[in-house]
Amino acid sequence: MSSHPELAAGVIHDIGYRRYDGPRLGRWSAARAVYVHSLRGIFGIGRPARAKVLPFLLVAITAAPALVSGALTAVVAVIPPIPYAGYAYYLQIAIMIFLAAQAPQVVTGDIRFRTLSLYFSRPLERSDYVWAKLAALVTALFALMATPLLILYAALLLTHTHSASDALNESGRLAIGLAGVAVDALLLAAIGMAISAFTRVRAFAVVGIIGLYLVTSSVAAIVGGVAHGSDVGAAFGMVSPFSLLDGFQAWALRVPAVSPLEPGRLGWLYAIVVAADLALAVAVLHWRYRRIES
Amino acid sequence: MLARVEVIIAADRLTRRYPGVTALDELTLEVPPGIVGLVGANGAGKSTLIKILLGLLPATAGGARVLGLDPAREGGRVRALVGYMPEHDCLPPELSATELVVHMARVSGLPATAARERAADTLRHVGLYEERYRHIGGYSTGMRQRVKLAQALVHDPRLVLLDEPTNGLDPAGRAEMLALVRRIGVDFGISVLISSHHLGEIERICTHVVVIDGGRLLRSSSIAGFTERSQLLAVEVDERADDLAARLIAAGIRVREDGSTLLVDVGDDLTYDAVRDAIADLELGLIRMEQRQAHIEDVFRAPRPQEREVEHVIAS
Repeated sequence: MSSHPELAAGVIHDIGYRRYDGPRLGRWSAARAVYVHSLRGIFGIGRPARAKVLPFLLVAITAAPALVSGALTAVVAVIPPIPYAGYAYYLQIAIMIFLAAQAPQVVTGDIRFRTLSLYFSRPLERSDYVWAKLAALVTALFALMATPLLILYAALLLTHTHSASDALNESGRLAIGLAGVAVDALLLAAIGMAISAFTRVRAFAVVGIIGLYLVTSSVAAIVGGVAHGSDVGAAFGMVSPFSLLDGFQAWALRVPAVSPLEPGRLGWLYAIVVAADLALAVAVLHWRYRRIES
Repeated sequence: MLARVEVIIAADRLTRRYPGVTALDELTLEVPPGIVGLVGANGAGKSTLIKILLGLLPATAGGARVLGLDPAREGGRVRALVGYMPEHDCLPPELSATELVVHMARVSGLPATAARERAADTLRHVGLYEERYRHIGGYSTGMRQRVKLAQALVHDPRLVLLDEPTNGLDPAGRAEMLALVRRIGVDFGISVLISSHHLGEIERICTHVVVIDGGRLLRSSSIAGFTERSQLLAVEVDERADDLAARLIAAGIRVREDGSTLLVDVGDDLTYDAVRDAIADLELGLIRMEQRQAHIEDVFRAPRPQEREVEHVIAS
């Protein structure tokens, strides 16, 4: 039983209204609040346990091969570890499931429940909102993809590094891997969020992202496979986000391509397409949020 | 710091057109601080006006000023000083009231500690206690309206724009919400613009009323001018309602016929006596006599055909 019956009765106490004379921090602080709030939402932090299950399960699934590979390399020295640069490509299905589940989580709720009205009636500008949400999703994807690389790095450092120069070389390779993963996170987040921002129904966004992935990767695999080794095959490698990113990485970071659809001499074109896709997705997002009713 | 403003909201030939519809039509008004009622039927342009005042919607022509600022050019500054409670549902069900209101305080620019303190204070002020830690998804309509009000107040605005805050509430809930709005205006010293399609409902708490219809200004004046006209007595008699109307009008009382019911303007308590005496003298059977809150239509609509007939009876 409540010890305050007057509270239960809903009586409003006159506690006196206090004015606020403290600092008002403006747009930057507002955008940071949206960023932190969204990032917590992606991983279900501060939410019920069931909101944490999927994101952390996918983090575990994505990291598991790195753990196994790192352990194997440590015990059986002849088995080489999974290369940093190829890790995202190998684990693309888990990454896509994470994106399909969490990109809609970041944006569709605010559209569906019309919470955007509360954001846009504050000093925050619409573009601030878009950048903050996108940054949260990029951060989450980066964390998802960087974690296994750090596990591999730790395993190699602990078992196969015998000198400072070994450690330095390994750190250099890790840095290249992380740079590649950062670009992956940027592009995948922008595409996933651009699709999600067009529906109030989370399931539609999930299907949209998975559908785009299945169609583009099938087209890239079939046509690219038939025309393997030719410029046509290389061109079709740009259709699927993961072979596009893999080819871009191979060209930009001078690492071996993991995808069978190698960019060959079209590496520069891969770079242009990555930049164009990213610019298009971000432009679409801003366009969408300028027009969205709030 | 902003200078103390005598006009919190001003519009100058403010016009907003949508394809095929003119939502606001050369609206010109000036509103003093206090509790301001914005009254109009659905589609009268109330929500459009509020969105323009927040800088969320550009005007097609004309301009507006809020707290001395131009929302079209200084939208961010206006929104930092203004709180907004939307008409529609806008709450994410998976958050608790506390989480949402703290978050919205931070989006308004308050530092983390201040945001938590003010969220707790504000939720108490709107009457949410233990339940504020539960998910909003399980709240009643009344509790949701209180959360919506709390997020509009949490950053200590100079002015709050409340778009139909009594929507969807039962009579008790409406009374509680209006009492809260009154507290905000009187005790908290925050100016309020409260929209409603029901003049009678909000006039009791307002210091100024703006009535718009079809995007045009019908009236903007302090509340004193309204109260005497909007107290209505509905009188129903078994026969000869025309005779009763004629007699009352002859006594200097404003009467309109609404079907078989007479709507009598209540000037003072003597009106009741006059109605009673008239019915007794005419030996009519009184079926019903009740207080009725005036709707905007009653106050502002042009005389209807029946009313002209009544005037005709008097003339003859």
